[in-house]
Amino acid sequence: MKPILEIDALRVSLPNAEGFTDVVKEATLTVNEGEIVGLAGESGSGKTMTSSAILGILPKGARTSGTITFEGTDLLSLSNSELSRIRGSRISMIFQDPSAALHPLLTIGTQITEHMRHHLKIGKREATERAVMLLKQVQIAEPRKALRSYPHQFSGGMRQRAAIAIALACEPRMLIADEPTTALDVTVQDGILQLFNRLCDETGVAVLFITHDLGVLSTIADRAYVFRDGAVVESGDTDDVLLRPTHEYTQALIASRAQSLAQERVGAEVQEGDHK
Amino acid sequence: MISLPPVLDAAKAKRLNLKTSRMLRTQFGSVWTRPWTVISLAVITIWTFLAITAPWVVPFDPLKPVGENLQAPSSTHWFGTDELGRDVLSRVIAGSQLSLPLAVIIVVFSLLVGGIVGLLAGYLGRTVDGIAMRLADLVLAFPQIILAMAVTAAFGPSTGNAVLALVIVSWPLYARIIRSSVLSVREQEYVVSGHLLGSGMFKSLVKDVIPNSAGPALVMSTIELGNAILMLAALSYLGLGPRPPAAEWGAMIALGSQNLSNWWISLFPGLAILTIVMAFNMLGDSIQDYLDPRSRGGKLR
Amino acid sequence: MKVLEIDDVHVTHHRRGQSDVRAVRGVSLSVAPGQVVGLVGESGCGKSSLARVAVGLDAPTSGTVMFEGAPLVPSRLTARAKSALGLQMVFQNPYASLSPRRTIGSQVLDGLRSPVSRAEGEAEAIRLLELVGLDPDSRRRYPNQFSGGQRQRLAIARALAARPTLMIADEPVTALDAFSSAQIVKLLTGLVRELDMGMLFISHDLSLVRAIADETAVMYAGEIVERGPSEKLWNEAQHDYTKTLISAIPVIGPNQRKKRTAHAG
Repeated sequence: MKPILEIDALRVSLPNAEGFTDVVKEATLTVNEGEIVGLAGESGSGKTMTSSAILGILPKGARTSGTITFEGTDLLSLSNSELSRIRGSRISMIFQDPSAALHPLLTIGTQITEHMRHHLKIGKREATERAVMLLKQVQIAEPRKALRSYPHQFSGGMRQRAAIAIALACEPRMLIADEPTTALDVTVQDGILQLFNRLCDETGVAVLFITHDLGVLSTIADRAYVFRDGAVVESGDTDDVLLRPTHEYTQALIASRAQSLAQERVGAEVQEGDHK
Repeated sequence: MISLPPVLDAAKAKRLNLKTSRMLRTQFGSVWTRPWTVISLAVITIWTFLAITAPWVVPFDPLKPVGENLQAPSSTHWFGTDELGRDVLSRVIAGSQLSLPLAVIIVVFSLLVGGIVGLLAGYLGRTVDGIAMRLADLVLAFPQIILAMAVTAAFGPSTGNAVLALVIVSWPLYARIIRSSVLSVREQEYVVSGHLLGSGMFKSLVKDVIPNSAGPALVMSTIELGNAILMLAALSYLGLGPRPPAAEWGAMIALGSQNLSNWWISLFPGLAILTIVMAFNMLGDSIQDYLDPRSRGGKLR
Repeated sequence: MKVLEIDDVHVTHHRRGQSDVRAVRGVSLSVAPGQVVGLVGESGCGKSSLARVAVGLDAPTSGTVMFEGAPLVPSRLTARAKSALGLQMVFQNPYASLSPRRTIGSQVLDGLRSPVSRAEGEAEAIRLLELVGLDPDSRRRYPNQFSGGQRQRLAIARALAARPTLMIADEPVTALDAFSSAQIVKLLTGLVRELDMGMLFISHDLSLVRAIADETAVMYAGEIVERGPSEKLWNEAQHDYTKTLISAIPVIGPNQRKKRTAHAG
């Protein structure tokens, strides 16, 4: 397994009145080619900050140390203009709220083709054809019609698919998906997760998938890192982490899930029944 | 699903809140210790002090001729004398006795009238809102100063009528701003749950709606204080406000402008207006920052 | 006697210039004292419209809502009838459910049915805060000093001041992290038992509803498509939509993913 992204001892500090607070503490993680790696944890645990650090989109004044190696280059050492050549073309990002990621006043087609033409320097007709293929790949029905549609004409799930299409437009080596299904209904989420699995299989793109939902983690990630308070507390094969957790934090997270609560309740009622 | 807030349990919540509020605070710490805020508060305090103590502080009687006409600023008359030999400094100080209280009265009444209209329009909606807003549109269709002139001229030029006219032209601004605050507050869950817990309209307005929608209106009223002084000065410049020989800044500028080579007659009242209007504007900015949840991270969320 | 009875309620929203939206199409539901009824549905199914009608904020287009045996009169801006004060609601957004301008102590006492002396008020505020597991000293503080989970507790305490016999919880833990969510769920189930309250628990999360509700109703496109005891519904779902909903829920398990090894890059 060849690593495509290696984060080593990453520290991210944000400024405050007395100095700096560490929001990511010595995080080390790896993403290999063609695999889906999950970052799990609650809000504020540092998982989003870690991914923001990769693409250099941290809040103003943030300080970083450590290295983030992507295809042999330390991303932390690059200037913003150098990073902008990587963003969207070598590494793409998908956000939680698809409505925020899509320009409300431009058609989906314009958004995909503009993006491609900027990075790949291709003509309009070629870009349009590629856009149609991309929309087919993300399973949007009637792609040609979709190209002429505006984001508000799409449902939440379709908007996210469109955002994924834009992210894939320049054939990136890696996708960073930050809670992409959190705002979607569970049936729609299921479709998007299956889409990610398929895309990874078909194109070999690596995915760094951030989520707070352990069920989603189990469904999609090959390997997982559990974040707490800026540090990685557990990592490994997803099955190992979720079915045989060693760290008590991971165990507590699993226990607080609705499914665990439900099982707890059923167990208690059965016991009560036995005692009657 | 709403974006999840940071993980917090009791003690951590406190720590994280303190951290965030410190992170967000301005370089100079609290709003109230910033240089511009301090300066503006000082200026306002000085003018208020002068307005209150004017009769005792003025070096000369502001209404009577006390020296040679049209003398340039000198050691006896710091701001010179005007065309009737009155001491300009004394008149500038005396002017604050007129402008400041009148401006406060104008703003308070506009805020009252506009506030009630805006509150009812926003809270009751539909017909009440429709009528109120069309009335407001009617007034706002005219340029403020022209309408004020017309009203004052129609009622007869006097201080009282100038104030009335200015209240008439100003209330729609407050009505609009309060209405829009009320519209957004009205649908908030805390107002709805207040109703579920038995609050009637009055209790809901007093306890929840007004305190949470007053912010923008308060900010606007500090800035409008400056505007009121300007408009009052404009009206009296045109002879529609306080009658001579009252020492009103606008009237003084008007007289002085007829002969600008005696620059001191217009300049000093003009500077008085400038300093106090700027001070109020800066105060308004500071209050806005104080109330803005993003720049303080403390009181409001 | 049922605490809440919703009988064949229809809610149609009229929009100028657009066709009417039939948000709720003939829903019937009831909650008994001490019972938790769960209502599950995804976005757009009409559960929010139903919740508003059930709590008396809006009037149904047709159908009736009975609370404690008497018809519920919808209020809006007017003060609610005293008889309806036993019907309370907890909302989804913990950050908007308390006025930022008033102390906790003042807000928590809003629901008191009759005026009390200062000392009685203090005692009641302390009792309510302790009932939801919060420090009684909180009553002097302002809402912005509390986390999302704590604010939800405060909102619950505030609702409890009115001595409710029925609580409608509209997605109360959706905006909370896993730990706070679990705590609030435990708090609500505890209160239901302790106070013999009825509860209508609305959520899009079927596994959550399974954890808390005795009976579950599944709502889709304005109608109840299936209902029954929660465990039975979960294990023996009949309706296709329910089955789709259940199978879509991501679970922890070694099944779904294919093992991806050194893939062609």
